[in-house]
Amino acid sequence: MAGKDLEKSKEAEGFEHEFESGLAVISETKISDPGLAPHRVRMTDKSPKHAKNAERQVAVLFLLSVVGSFFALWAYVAFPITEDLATVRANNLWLGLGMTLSLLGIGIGAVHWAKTLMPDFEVSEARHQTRGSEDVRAAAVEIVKLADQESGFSRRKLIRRTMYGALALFPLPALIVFGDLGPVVGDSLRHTMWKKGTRLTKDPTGIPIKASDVTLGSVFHVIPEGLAEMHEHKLEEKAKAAVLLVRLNQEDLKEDEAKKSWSYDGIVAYSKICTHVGCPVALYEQHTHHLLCPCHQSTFDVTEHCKVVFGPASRSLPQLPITVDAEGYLIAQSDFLEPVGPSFWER
Amino acid sequence: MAAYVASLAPGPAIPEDQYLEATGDAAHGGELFRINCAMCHNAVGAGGALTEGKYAPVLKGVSAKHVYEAMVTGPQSMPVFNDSNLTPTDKQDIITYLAYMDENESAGGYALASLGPVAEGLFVWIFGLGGIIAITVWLAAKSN
Repeated sequence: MAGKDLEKSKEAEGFEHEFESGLAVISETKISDPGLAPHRVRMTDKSPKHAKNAERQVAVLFLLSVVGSFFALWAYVAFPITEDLATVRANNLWLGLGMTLSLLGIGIGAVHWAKTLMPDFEVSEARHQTRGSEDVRAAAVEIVKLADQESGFSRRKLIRRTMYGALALFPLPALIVFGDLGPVVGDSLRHTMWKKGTRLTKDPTGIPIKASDVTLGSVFHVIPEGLAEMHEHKLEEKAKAAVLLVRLNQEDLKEDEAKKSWSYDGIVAYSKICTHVGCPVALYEQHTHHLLCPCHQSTFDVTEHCKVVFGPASRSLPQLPITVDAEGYLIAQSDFLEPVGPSFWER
Repeated sequence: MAAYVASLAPGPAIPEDQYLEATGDAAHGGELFRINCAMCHNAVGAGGALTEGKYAPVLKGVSAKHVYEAMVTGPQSMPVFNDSNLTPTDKQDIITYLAYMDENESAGGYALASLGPVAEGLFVWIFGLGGIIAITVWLAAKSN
């Protein structure tokens, strides 16, 4: 509030204390109060015919609401939800339209009533001062002093100090209980179900995959052996361990020397969890060997260890080192060597 | 002509008719579709965008034979789903799921081409927010 206005309202309300600006910055070039806009008389105030019309309009709106209520009741009976899922559609549509009409009729009618027929005059109310009057403040101080005197709070040191101790320790049990609300994250973000010798199996059946099954251009959606049979924490484990398996021509692969042994005969396995915000990356283009994340269009190049070629992801998809066992089934050489999924606080 | 093309190189045979009938397990087909196909073709087969203007086509109204052959050959950007990945019965279930989606319209009302959050979000932004703004303007306006 500008200083001038404050002065005005102070006079108006008869405050005796000094005006303080507090933290407010008082502008040097004050904008004068423009006051209220000139009053414009409504048609409904000028002509009784218009007022009568407005009254009828409000009544019609309320009647529409009545019709809507009855219609909603009728629709609920007339369009029951049966075994056929398609019946949900008609039920929801007509019931919803009836209820909409019923509620909007009341709302619009009430506002129209207030705007056209209820008294039309402008009111301005000045904001009162936040500081209380001296009398009120003095009375408050008296109450505090009296309470101290009667309770002996300042006088009885033993009671006061033991009470401080009790209050300080009181939240302690709550702290301990809240601390046990959830599991400690620990290193669960750094490890998945994959370990040395885990077979690569098909999602959702859990059938193990032979290297010879993965023909050129094939894509397999892979879960670790044992996940399909899990009951508890299945989704949590799947969300970390999901893998995409692709076979490329060996000569198309541009592999680092250190990671050469991670693929098997052109077959490569990558985490399906995007390193941006964790969507499943699985749009594999057979000819460009690009993997596209549908959420934010991060694109990964499968021929070069899934490095990012486009989009907001900042790290390559982690590669799962794979090989085959004696029976020709694909197995993991180890867990992922880096955490899968999006970046988090400690990496 | 088909015999000539077949003589050029080996390739998958034309699928057997028994796997093309939409009499499989639509629920299982739906699960397989969501795992293997939905990321490109959309959860109900409405199609979707790939990189650089490439796209996964709409699967509504596509013949069962066409769908089956696409899975075994992997046309354009699409990868191959051979019989050890999706067995012929699995493929039939997927075909059954697509046929089910063709026959049953969306229970939730007008689906806006089933394109998901982008189409729905745009609709809500324009018509939902537009309606709210219109009502707000009317609420605050003085009567004549």
